[in-house]
Amino acid sequence: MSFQGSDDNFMQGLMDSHLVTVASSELTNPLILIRQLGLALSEENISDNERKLISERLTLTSERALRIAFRLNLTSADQTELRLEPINPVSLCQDVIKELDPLYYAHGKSIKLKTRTRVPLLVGDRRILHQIILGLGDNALNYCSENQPIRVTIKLKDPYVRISVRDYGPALPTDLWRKIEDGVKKRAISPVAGRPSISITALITLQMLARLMGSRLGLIRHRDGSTFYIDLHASKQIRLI
Amino acid sequence: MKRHVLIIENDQWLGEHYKLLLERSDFSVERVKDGHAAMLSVDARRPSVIVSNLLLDGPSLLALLHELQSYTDTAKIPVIACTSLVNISIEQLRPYGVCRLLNTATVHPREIIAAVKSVLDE
Repeated sequence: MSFQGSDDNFMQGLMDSHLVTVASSELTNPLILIRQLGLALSEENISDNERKLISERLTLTSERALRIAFRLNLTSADQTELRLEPINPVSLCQDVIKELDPLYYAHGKSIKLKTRTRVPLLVGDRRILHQIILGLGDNALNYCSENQPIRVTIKLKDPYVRISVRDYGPALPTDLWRKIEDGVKKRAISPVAGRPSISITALITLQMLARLMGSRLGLIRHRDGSTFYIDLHASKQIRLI
Repeated sequence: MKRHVLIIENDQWLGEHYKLLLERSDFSVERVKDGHAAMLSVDARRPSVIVSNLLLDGPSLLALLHELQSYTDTAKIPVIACTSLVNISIEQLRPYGVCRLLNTATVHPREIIAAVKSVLDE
């Protein structure tokens, strides 16, 4: 599994970026929102209902920022700290969806798991894989509507198990990726370029986590969005439950 | 009649926050999430001012502003750009009709309202 051609170079360029830059830009958006909501709470002329709504949004956005911080922290782990084990991908994805449900619900959106009943176990680090799927789910929030829930899918792609997250954001045209790639090489991505349906910094973080497990994030472009996926080896261990 | 403000902001909650702020200041406000929706909105009702995030999903704000600049009736719509990027200046954006640049990391809600009012008074 790999990005093809220019996408490979693109990812290499991104991996060379400095983690501090990644951290600051990824945390900026939720922090801007938290600050604005905090300032709104301090206004005197807001109703009790508005205060309750703002408080709920503050909590959910803070939790989102903390998830980003946790993921960034995990990227500094080295492979000796990995705990590879057989993982039931269905229960892992169910846990992720349960964690994201309140955030999606508060936005009037939803995230759903689509899977066959019998999917083999996969081999990976549960903590890292959980954060990767959580990161893709967090990111996909902006790229769905009430009628188009985000779909998390688990499939067997022998010898791998593929977990994918399908969003309905703007497509990722190749020329845009090339443009960004050129920008990364020159260390000056145009600050006013259009954004693909995943933030560059989120992509770097998740790609670093995937690499810790010897895997990589993959991308399938659609006319109306993108699917980001990770392939991990299926476990040969017989599932007893 | 209330002056109409178009907000282009991808983040639903931040967009709703700006919308509420301006509605409280007696503006009529529509919030859209990207450049395509903004073009449709401008065609349906020409706003008195546009308040937009500089980084939009899909086509950039500059692509949208370039489009607006190509028509005489939309070229004069004043634009307030919002960003936390520090390596961009208002001078770079003026040719596209941007007349205010707000730093989202430091701006106070009252300053957003003040920026809209001052642009309309010019």
